[in-house]
Order: sequence, then structure tokens, then C-alpha cells
Amino acid sequence: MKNHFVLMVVFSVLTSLVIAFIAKNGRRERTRYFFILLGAFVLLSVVAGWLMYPFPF
Amino acid sequence: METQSLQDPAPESPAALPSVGGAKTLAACVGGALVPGMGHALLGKWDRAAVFFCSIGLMAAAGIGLDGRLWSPDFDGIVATLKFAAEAGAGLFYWIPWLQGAGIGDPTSYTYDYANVFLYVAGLLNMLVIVDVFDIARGRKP
Repeated sequence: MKNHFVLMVVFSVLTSLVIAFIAKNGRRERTRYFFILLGAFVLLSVVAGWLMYPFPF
Repeated sequence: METQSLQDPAPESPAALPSVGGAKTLAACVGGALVPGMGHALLGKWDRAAVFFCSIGLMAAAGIGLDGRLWSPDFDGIVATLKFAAEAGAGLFYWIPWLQGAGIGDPTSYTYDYANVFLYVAGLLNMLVIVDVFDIARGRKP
């Protein structure tokens, strides 16, 4: 497993799961919060990656 | 014609939530610090216990398996100390592999940076989990 995107998604899933269970109660709220966090993790990571693309280091 | 009350329902009082004694609170927090999820299991929150144990355990295992480094408690500089503190938050998921000599870390590995982030975040998330255990035990959240 040496694909950075896959590793980032695995990291995002596990972290979002723990935070959703800490922050929310009830299956519906947790599920909704989990997907919001997961989407934010993945989307913002890709955006940050593109913003850093021109940097020379 | 019926009229509805405009008043909001009374907010749930924290006092209405069950709390446990000081000894059980301490046991739950120490148990959660040793094994992620154990504190919730001691308080009967089995679903959270299973999720925390599996997620944090998987992150720690992935970190070690991907050539991450387990920082030793040698307190050699502030950065190394903070890295050790973050990783040691995972409890036995840190100490067992460290005592077995695993987690040497390979900076030339393609996944070294990712692996270290997995290890740091596993420990830091478990610190949040311990705070959650304390809040549940004191009756501050369900």
C-alpha cells in the first residue's frame, strides 16, 4: 500500500470515525457528521496538494 | 383551535445524566489510557469502545507496518519529547511494539512520513477518547 491518496483516505476514514463517535450521539447524527468530516478531509487535502504544486520544495 | 406554546422545551440538564463514582471514573480513565476503548467498555458503552479500539489500533498498526518510527522516551529535545508524548498516548499500542523493538523507522521509505502521522494521530485521538470517558463518567454527556 504505497499510494498516497489511498493512505490519505484510510487516515481520513479512521480519524473521522473516531471524531464522529466522540462528538455526536445517535446513529443518524454520527453518520451525517462522519461523511461531512470525511468529505472535508479528502477535499481539502486534494485542494492543499494542488495549491502546493508550484512550490519548489 | 389549539395553540402551541412558543416556549422551547427545557434543555436537558447535565444533572439528569447518570454519573459514576470517583474510583470508577479513575479506573475508566486509566483503562482508556492503557487500551483505547477500554474506558468506554468499563462504562458499558460497547459501541464506542469497539470503534475506538479498532480505529486507533488500526492506525497504530498501520503506522508501524508502513515503516514509521516509535520515538523513545529519552527526552532528547522538545520536538522529540512531543513526538514521544503524542505516540505514547496510544497506550499499549505504543508500549508493546516499542518493548518488542518494532518501530525503528526507515526515513528512506516511501511511506515514512505518512506512517509517523498515523502514529502521532493514533495517540492524540486516544487522548480525546480519555477526555470523552471522563465526561461520560461524570455525567456530562450521554
